[in-house]
Amino acid sequence: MKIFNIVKKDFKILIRSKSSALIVLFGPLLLILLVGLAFNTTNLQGIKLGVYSEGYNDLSNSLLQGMEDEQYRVTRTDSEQECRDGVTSGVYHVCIKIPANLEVRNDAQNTITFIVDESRVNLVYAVKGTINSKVGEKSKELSRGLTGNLVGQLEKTKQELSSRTSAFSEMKTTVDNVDIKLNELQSAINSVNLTYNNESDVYIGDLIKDVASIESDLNETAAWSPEVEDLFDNLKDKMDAIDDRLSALGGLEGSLTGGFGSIKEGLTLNKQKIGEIESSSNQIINDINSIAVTDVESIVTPISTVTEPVTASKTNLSYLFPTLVMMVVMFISILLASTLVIREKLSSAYFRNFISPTHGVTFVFATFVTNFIIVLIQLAIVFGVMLYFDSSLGSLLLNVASVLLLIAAVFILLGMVIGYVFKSEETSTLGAISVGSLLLFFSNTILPLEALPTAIREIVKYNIFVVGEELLRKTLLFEYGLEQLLVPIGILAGYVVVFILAIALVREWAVARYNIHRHLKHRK
Amino acid sequence: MPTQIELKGVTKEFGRNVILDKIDLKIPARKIFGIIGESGSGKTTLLKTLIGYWKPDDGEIFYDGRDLKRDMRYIKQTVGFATQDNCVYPKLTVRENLEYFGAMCNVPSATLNRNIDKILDLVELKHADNKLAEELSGGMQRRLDIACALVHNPKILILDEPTEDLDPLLRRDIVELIKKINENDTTIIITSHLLDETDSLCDEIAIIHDGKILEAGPTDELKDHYSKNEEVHIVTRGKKYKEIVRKLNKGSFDKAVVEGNTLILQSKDAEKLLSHVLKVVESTDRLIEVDLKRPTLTEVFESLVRKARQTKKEG
Repeated sequence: MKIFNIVKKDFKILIRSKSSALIVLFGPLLLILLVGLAFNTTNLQGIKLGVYSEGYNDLSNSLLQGMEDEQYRVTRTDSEQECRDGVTSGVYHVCIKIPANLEVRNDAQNTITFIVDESRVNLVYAVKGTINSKVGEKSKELSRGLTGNLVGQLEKTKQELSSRTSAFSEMKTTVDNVDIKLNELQSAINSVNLTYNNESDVYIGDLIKDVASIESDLNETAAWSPEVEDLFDNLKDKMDAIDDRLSALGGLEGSLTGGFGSIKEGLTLNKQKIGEIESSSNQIINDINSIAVTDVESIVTPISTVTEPVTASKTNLSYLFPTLVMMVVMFISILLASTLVIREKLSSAYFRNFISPTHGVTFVFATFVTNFIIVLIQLAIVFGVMLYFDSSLGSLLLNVASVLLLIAAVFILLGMVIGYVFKSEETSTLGAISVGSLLLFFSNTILPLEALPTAIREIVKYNIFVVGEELLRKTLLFEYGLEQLLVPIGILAGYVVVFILAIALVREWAVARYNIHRHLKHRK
Repeated sequence: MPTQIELKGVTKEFGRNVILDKIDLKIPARKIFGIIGESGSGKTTLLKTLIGYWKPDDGEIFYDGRDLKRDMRYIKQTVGFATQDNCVYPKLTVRENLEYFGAMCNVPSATLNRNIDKILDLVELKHADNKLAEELSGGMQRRLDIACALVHNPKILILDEPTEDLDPLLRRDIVELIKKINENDTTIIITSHLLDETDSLCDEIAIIHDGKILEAGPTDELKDHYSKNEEVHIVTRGKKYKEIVRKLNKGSFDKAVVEGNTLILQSKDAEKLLSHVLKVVESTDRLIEVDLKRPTLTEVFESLVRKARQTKKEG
């Protein structure tokens, strides 16, 4: 029951305070509305690309054309340094270095280098992702072409080999026929008795001797004798035997001539077929040789990319440091300033200050100085820790400190405006956190500004957080001199003037409103 | 006595509410000037308008002949103000509060230290000068607030209900303190709805009702003007009041009433009546208590407010 009463009382107080009701009830709705309007898009827009190449060709041009088709703003720079400087100064989001005459070959240099500002982590990854996908598309297209070549060649080879299948059959048939023919010849040769025995077979020398003996006997005897008769019979038999064998050889010659003729014919046919196959093979080899890219890596990834930071190698903390410092400065300054102002306003001693002969401006300035000192002490601690880890920051300290003082001044003044506007500490704190969150949300910290619609982005680029972060990044990471940062410094200085005027107006109004409120409460 | 502050037709409105309605008032220098009125009658608004905290919607205010609108800085340097709220920093010590407000009132540091010691003696907070304001008792906090209002030696000290919320002993201390401050020729303007206290403290008063000054002037003159009778109160052992009244000369008193154990005799010259009454009681009864009551501010106030209400009702 007590809890219920307390809750009821809290709600009454909340609702009866118009400002707190506005913040508590409508603040989140407003925030959601703004965020909804702002981030109702999935694309990165207006990405500015600096491109440098020593020589552009069709491939690099078509790649860049593809990026331009994707709404990237592509600018070709005259030198690599100009391209890199563009990234550090924020003119380009990414610098793309394309090798001269980018070409897909076995021995070609196909690596595209992205030079990025690693301190804008989320934008870098988003841009790298989208550009990589664009390059990847081109790379895929090339890879598809190269693989198509290979597959086409394989198909052609297959067709060629298929068309030669009948030739192989014909050659096989021919070889079979030759085999048969050779078998026949072998049989024919086997059928001829070509055995010759010195003992039993006719010996030509013996015949000659026999003929010589007969001649001699005839000369001596001059008479036909039975022995001669026998000799001639014997000779005749032997001659017949020779005649038979020679006749058989004559038959064999015929067979051989015919057989060899067939074999020659078959071999000639085969030679012709082999010639055709050789010609096809040569054609295939020539076609394969004509494929320009055979390197596996080149086929799989015709265009590769590498990313390099625009600054010398640094840790992630270094890249995030400007954002971290900005967040610290913003929340501390806004919350502290608003709390100090509202506490002073609500303090009973405020009245005594008000009626003292000290001018109101003095109190405002003193509050500012108090805040400033506290923020400075906290920043000194943060930087002390940072210097411990990275002593190179020491040389930048003067520029960074100057920039930080300006940024802190702007946020403190903003916090003071909030403190003067609100009537209670609770609403003031809520207001401070809401404003801080809004500034943070519409910065590069959560999503890149490039993810916002153009109209909103045009406004948001003047966000104190965005301007301050840019200043810090350039002084801390890219070591810019203050003279190179006059525009953002000018914007922040403008904010200082605006907030001082706002404090002058709001304080007057708020003091009167608060005094009346307090007075009426007192009378009741 | 020269006029130090003069208000001419001062009007202050909040929205449609007229809080101060054409106030004309002259406050003399070096006196204790009381502004009395009911809660919500416009006392605090009048004081805050006097110091420029509220800008009048109409009319003019002059300090020593200087126009408040044109010479705000002089006036802030001239006036010290202590409210009902103890306008000090609770987290500062007594001395630190005095040093801070002294600095705000442009007191040079050498003078400031002397002033602080003197003021701490005056308000009897010397022993507590290193205590945090939030650790002080209610009476001490009120004295610290007054000390802060005095730290720059103002010619005029304005005190808004200085004894509000204090117990009788602390109230007496504050009244004594105010008298001590006035002894240093500091003009004191004080508001209160505790009329007895104002009666005993103030040289002059203004009675405010519904944002209008009903009457202003020296306290005694107002009392004489608005209350004609003084009273003699007697308490005797035998309560023989009828006999006592019978023995008194008829012309020596206007009216005799018995309230409880007390016989009250009203007369225009109570001192003369008192000596006569004492003689009669001595011969008639045994006297236990006797008191001479003069007309009070309460009477004046009640009379004026009643009249104002009547006029408003009729108007």
